[in-house]
Amino acid sequence: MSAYTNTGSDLDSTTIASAFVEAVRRLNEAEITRNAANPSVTPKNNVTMSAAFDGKAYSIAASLPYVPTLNTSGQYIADVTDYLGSTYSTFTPGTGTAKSTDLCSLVLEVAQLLSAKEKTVAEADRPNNIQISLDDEAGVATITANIPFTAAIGSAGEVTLTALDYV
Amino acid sequence: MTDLLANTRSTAFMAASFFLNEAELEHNRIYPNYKTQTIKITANFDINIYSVYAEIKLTESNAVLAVEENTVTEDLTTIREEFVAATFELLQLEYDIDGDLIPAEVEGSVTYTFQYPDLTLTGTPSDAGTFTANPKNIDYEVDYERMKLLVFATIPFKSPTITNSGAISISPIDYA
Repeated sequence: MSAYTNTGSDLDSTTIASAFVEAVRRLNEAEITRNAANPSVTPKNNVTMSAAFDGKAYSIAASLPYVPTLNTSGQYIADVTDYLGSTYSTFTPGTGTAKSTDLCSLVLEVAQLLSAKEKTVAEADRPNNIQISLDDEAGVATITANIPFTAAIGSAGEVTLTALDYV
Repeated sequence: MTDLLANTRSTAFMAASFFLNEAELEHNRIYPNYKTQTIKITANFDINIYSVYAEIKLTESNAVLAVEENTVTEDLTTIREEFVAATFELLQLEYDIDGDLIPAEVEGSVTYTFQYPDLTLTGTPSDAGTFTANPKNIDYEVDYERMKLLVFATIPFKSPTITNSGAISISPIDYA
């Protein structure tokens, strides 16, 4: 069980895998909203998301611009740039697990939480459903993920996808 | 009989697609040595579109093409028939909107009908607010070489909503 605390935040998930998918979905939606509201400027499509129902897995890819810095202890910091602007990307963290205040940063933060959680599993059984790479030269963090889900058909024909708590 | 849980034809088509997908996955779990996959469904959240592709095996008997009997489970055959029925219900709606009719003949002199017994589609299409002139979101071909019905569909869905548990809920748009 990979518990995620959502207290007071904009996320509703209670597991890390679900929180990651939810964060990606919210950023994906924010990009769509921003692009629709600004048709005369270059669209931002830094995150893509789809769901395949034969394999029951989300396929997620994100390219997030970031600025590498060092903190006062000399530790490496990857600060994701809010490339959508606060009008579209504001995130309320509350007192939940994630601390980011914009959706762009939130996606990398929860991705890191999920990746770290995977690494707590014994090597022989360790899943590798999410990969993160940081390219300091380009200033781009790349996330790829295949997150399993369950699907349920509701009373009005809607389909509800719930990310599996696989770690 | 499967309750398609839908009150529009586009939703009925998607529900039938999901039931077929689920039935095949269950079938493959029960009979791992007799795996089958005739349908592939993908939801693209960037453009809010379902993509559906299916290849349904047909048999020919007295110039009538019917969905092939499945030798492992009759239930799967029934669900495939329901999928075909939902496909042609939606095609019929698109053709009706076009003012055309579904052609009675294709590629030569073979006249065909699709048999889909034991099917109930509940409700009627609700066009309010989302009527699209001349929609072309579903199409099909009959592959006579392989005796298969090929179904292609791109069904738009509403912007997915996030439930209070963080899950993502998707509802097809009643586009036609």
